[in-house]
Amino acid sequence: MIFRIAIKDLKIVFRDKKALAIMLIMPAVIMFILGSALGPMFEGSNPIERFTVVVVNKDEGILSQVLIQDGFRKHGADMLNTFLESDEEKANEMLRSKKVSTIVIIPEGFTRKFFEGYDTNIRIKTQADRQYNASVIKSITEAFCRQFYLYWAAASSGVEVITEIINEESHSDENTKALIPDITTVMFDMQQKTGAADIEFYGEKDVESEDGNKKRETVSGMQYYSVAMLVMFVLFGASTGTKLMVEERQSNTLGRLLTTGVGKVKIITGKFLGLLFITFTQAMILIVFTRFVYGVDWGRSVLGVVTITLCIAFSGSGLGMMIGSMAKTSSAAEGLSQLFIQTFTVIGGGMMPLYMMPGFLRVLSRGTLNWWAANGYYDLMLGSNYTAILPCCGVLILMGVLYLGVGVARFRTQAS
Amino acid sequence: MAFIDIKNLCKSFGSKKAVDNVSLEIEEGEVFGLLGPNGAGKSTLISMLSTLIKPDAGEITVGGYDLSEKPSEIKKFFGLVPQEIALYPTLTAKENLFFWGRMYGLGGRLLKERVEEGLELAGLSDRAKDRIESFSGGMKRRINVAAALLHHPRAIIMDEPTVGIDPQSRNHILETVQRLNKEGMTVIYTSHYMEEVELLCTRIAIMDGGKVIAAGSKEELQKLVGETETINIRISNMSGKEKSLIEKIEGVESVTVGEDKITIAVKDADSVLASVISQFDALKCKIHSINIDEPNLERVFLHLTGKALRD
Repeated sequence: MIFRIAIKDLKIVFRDKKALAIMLIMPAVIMFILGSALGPMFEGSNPIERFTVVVVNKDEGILSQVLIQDGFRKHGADMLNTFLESDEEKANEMLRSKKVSTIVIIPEGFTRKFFEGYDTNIRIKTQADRQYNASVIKSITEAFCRQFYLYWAAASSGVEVITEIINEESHSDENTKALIPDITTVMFDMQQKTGAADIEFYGEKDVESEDGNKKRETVSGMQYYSVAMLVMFVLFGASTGTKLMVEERQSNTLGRLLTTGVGKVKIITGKFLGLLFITFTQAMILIVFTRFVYGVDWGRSVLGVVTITLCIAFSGSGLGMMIGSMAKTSSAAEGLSQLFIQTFTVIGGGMMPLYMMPGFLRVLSRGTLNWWAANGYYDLMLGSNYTAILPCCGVLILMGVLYLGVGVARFRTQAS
Repeated sequence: MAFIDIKNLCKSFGSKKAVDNVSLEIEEGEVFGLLGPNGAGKSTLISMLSTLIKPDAGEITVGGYDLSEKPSEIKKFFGLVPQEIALYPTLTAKENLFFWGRMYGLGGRLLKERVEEGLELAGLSDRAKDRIESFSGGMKRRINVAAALLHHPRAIIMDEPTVGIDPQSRNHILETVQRLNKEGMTVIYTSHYMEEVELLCTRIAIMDGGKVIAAGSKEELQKLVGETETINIRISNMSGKEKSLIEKIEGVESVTVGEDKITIAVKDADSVLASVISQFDALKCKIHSINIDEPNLERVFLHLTGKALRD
């Protein structure tokens, strides 16, 4: 009986062309528009093409060499092709003839000036239409120098302390003095040991996840909006089922159903299962569609995607049952659904990334099922495995049970 | 003991008494009519009988079972034809019947047979695969009736089953009721169409304001108004004084004034008609038609409540 009621609801919804358009076509279109238009907000490195930089190094110290090797060639490898040129005029000519877009000139005495605390005056020249390249070089150089300054400060303080201790011990023979470390050695040793990984670069980068798999730090715009719209439209899918439920009450099919001998519990369970079927089927269709048509990467864990989808379908269906129990007419159900869904979507970061929102909204967002569902999907997209999404799944199930509980309680009150 | 025994039944919605201390006995195999205007309490009474709403007070016994104790047993006795088209518009006629059949606990070959039977009964076997939304109002009503008969109930409750349909479908439903009753089924039929109730029902209860104001066979009810006849006059240019003047004519029992119609209850129409016409003539009213009815349930209702059934 329960299964028959659920299948009947699924059949009705999937025969309704308007409902289908809202549930499948509209989200597919909106995902594409938002993903394409707002994608660059998420992909800081994407609008910048990899570019070639020619470095003219007039410095004879070690710091400029480290900057080139570690800063430009190692950590800037994602964005820069770095070449050295000893002749500044030749480098300028390459820039003028547009053979390169950017040149960097490290002045004489760069290392010395740096350690003595003077301005180092690295010059960056770029073509007029490629000014962003200069910003990238500037960012890398500043971050690198800032880091080195910290090493230098730490190293010089350390050496100073050691020197004072040795001098106070009045064992100032030559052998003891030889124990005082050289600041530069200490500084580079620190740099080697800590690595320059503390230097932060804009854009995506891959990091090692705890389980040893490659894990990215950010999702793309298309991924972000595919998830956000998927969750929003799954809730709209649930609201279509909710509307159907209220219409059944209005047309007295629910009344007729109650006279057939099918118990209230079976009817409510069947209705909930129907909503679950509708929302889960809708979500899976959208996931498969975006995977193969838009190339959205939903992560490696198929089981994880199915599990989190089932959880959001459960939670959304619970919300649908609650709204269905609150609304007396189908238009009221529609209005209430709109209110819940749009509020949840905006607060839950479905319209714009949460980091762009005020702090209190970021806290509030955790009260929405959108936030938990989206984070579950993002975790999978970034390379996490099945177990990483279990907390999100747990919260979604809990929310679903809560909503369903309110709905069932209201239905029982109404029926009696 | 009667098949259906209703005693002192009450139901209120807020301060409004929808059913007020109603007692009825319905025998198995009869067509029992509930007649009354909209808001008389017929649908509320039927909802309580079909276990949809709980009474505030009173008892209902069906086939020896107390409704408050064994509602699930009582549900098996009944098939309900609600006033609304309680079908799924985007499912086909056949899918609807299959669904309702399953809800009544049918399955397999029996279900298939009953669905075919239902389609035949509705006269819609050739439209079995068409969606309900593509049907006319009458066709929908016929399937609405068929869906209530799939499990072969002992009694069928029909709540205004002919509202807003074409004459052909109405006749089809009325013939179906007569056929079912001939086969031994108990029918509880509510309507505010007096002609239908007169045609179908062996016993009738007239309801108004939540109360049963009279009950009995058609003949028993007609006796309540004696041998009086009704003169129905369609008229225009009324001044508003007509009612009081006509009531003064000797032999006139009651007068009901509608928008363009006056209904006059009289003992002998022939002896009063001339006086009535001359009175209208004096008031410069324009008479369009005159029709004299023999005693009927409309008259009974008018006599008992002082208002017309369709007011």
